[in-house]
Amino acid sequence: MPLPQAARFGEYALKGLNAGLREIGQAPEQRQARRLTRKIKRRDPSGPRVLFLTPRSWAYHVQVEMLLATALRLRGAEVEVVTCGGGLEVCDRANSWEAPPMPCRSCRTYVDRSVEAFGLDPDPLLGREPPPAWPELDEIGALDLHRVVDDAGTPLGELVDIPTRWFLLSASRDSDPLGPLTTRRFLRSARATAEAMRSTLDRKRPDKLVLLNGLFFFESIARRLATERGIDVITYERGFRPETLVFRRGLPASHYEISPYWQRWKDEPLTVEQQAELDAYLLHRRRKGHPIFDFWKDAVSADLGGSEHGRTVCLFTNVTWDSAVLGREGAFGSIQQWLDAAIDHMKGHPEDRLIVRVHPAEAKMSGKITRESLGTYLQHAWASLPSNVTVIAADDLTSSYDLMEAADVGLVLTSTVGLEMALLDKPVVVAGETHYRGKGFTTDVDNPGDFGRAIEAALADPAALDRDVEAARRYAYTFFFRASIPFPLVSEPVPGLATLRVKDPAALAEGVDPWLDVICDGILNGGDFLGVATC
Amino acid sequence: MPGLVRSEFPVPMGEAVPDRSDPAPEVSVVLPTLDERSTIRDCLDSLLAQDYPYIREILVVDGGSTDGTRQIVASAAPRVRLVDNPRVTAAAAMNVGLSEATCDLIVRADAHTLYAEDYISRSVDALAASGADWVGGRMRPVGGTAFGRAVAAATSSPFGVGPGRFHYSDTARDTDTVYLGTFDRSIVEEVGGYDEGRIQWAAEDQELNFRLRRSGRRIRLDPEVRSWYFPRQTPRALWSQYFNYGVCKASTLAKHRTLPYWRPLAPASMVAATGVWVFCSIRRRNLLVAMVPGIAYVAGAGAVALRLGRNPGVAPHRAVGALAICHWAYGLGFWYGVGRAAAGLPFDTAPRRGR
Repeated sequence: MPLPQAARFGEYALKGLNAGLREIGQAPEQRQARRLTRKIKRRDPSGPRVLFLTPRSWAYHVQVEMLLATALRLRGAEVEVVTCGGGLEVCDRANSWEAPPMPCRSCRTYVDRSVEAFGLDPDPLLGREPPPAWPELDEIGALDLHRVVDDAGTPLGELVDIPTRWFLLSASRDSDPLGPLTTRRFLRSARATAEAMRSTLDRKRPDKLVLLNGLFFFESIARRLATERGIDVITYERGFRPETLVFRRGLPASHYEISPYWQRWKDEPLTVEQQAELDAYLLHRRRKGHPIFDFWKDAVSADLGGSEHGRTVCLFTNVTWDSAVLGREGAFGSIQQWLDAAIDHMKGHPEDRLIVRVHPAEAKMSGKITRESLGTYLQHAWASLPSNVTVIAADDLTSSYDLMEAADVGLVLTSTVGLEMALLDKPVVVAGETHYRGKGFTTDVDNPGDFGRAIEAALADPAALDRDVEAARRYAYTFFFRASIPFPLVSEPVPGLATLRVKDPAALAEGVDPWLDVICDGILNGGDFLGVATC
Repeated sequence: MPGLVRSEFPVPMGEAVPDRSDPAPEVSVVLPTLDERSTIRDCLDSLLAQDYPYIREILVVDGGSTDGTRQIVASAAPRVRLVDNPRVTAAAAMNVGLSEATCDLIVRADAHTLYAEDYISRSVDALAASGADWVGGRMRPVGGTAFGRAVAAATSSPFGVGPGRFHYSDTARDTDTVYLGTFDRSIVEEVGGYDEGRIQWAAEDQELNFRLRRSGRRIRLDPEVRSWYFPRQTPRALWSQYFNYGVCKASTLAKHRTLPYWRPLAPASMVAATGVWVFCSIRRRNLLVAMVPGIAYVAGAGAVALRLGRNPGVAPHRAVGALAICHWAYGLGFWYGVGRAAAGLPFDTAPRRGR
């Protein structure tokens, strides 16, 4: 646990106060929700049955979900909310620096009070009796735990794979001493959750299920079970632009897959206004970088040294346990293999240089410091790195944007940096299954052989690689603007705290907020969740 | 097991065809167990996944587990052999294992531990390269809960456990005792084997190492020999463990009329001095003065805990708790053991309720 930072005392005080108020159900957003609910005129539901899954006390998401639930009720939907109820051995409410034990009591209190504040009844999945033991799990070897299925045939091992790695803050579960222990904990929790979820879905028989992300612990189980039952599953995530949301039907929103939208707009040139809008946003990204964490607050300009080197290749890593990466490593089995392959290739080209930029999130995401640092991995795996390879550590203040500009070629797995480099008209070799792969402005490789050949080609002549800055800009506009819907009704002034900005329930009614209409239409009527076309 | 996958044990250890022109020696692994169901599978998996091709056998010497440990071990046959230990204790298990082992080179293992893939190969290499008689690695504790992480940090710090180098040293060196170990069984037989009768249970390794050093043998710590140990995860369990460790040292003192090293005297002296101070202060009716040792301890432990709190996931207040339990339980256990010895009472050679 990093020691408290003097610069953040204000934030700590605010969070402490908020934690106290949550205990008595009087957090500002909860009081605001009650005021809002008192003004709402109830109407009998006549529309589809919509079930929200709101299991954790992630304040921003709880408030987003409850506001959406309220908006859907105003449009005639019959809305119910399933919460966790607590009592699981482990879940992804916390990570392995923080838990177990899980903060079930405070988590449950906040979620239930918040749901009640919106005039809804939380229906807990669990918590009535302790989950049953599962002693047979002790007999399963660590390498086989991902194949575990429960009595009803649900592939729990597969479903807890990403949440377990996310919890561990490490993708190398099989070589992590905590891996087997944590995976068994997740499997026991998943078994109890799946059993309760089956019963809830069969009892409530919703038409729609709305949930966060789609890959997290509760959500991956619910998505699977609901899909098996023919229920329409809608997932959402934060968009890349501040105060936007991304929605997907059936798929995990966290993959940010926008191919259908791209097909629609890939040939349509951007207008002058759209170009300006995109440029303004890209400038914002350069200054801040992440919707929640300010990676570039104290960034310094990169000094890339003299010109004795030939080509400069910049490799930008991902955080290994990010759900956007796991299972999407593409040409390689892991990020580490991809890194090794890149260094191996560059070893044979001493006249050129490779700069490895370790993702700043490894060190800068408060409370989520990685347990699998790629910088440390490189130190161990490469006792002496080739002299033409430079590693920029996660906590280094060098701005990645300067590196992008200085690079002749970029190497990425799934990082959005690849898209940003393409926007700078730089050739990019994409090895992972990222959303912008195969869109015509990057060089996408399917196997280590292709990867090596792409690097060779890039070193010989970077211009030989695929590039299309205009297509990249059209894609970026579709991705950042069309596919993400503005949702300014809830904000997160400090990570972990939420503010409700709606003062009047009329703001939630049909026909008032076009963005909210798009979302509600998408959930209720199968609309396409477009953030621009209708407005 | 409806719904569960069939899970084979990994790695074809027995199927490897050793190149016998290679001078590397064969080894027997001896693993004492007693009710280890929750950890034995992972422990065996990590032993079976070793990159050292000359592991002739893994002997699990079980003291009568009733929780299913024996069934899990039996399912790993024939590469793992289950051997009964009617005398229950770990010391007895090691003696049974040594008599059953078919190799001269022995790897002493523990069921609460996971082993790096190269654990045995590095042990064998270090044994040959250093010329030492016993080689072991660092004890690398891994906390699986918030309190467990605090325990791991406290027991990896010189302030938590004193200068026991096997807890934290990063350099290879000769030392007084190590965690587990690899050795030729003849050296153990020369000094009479593990003591099953005169010392407190759990004292067997350090007491044996003490006898070995007295007979001129070298104990070597090599931090490259990597394994991960799961320490106690609750205050109560930690208290019991460290109280017993204190008794262990007292039993070694009673047996040898000396201590293998001075470390136990630090917590024991602290407990004794505090007791005397508090007693005298209360007799003089000066309660404020009586509180001084407590305040001083909290201040000192607090400063250490703040330092330990720099480790991710370690809350300073839990680290203070872990440090306090380690120190006070150990010190009290030591004096309890001294009292037992002074009264002529025997030590507990087996745990009363499992280990």
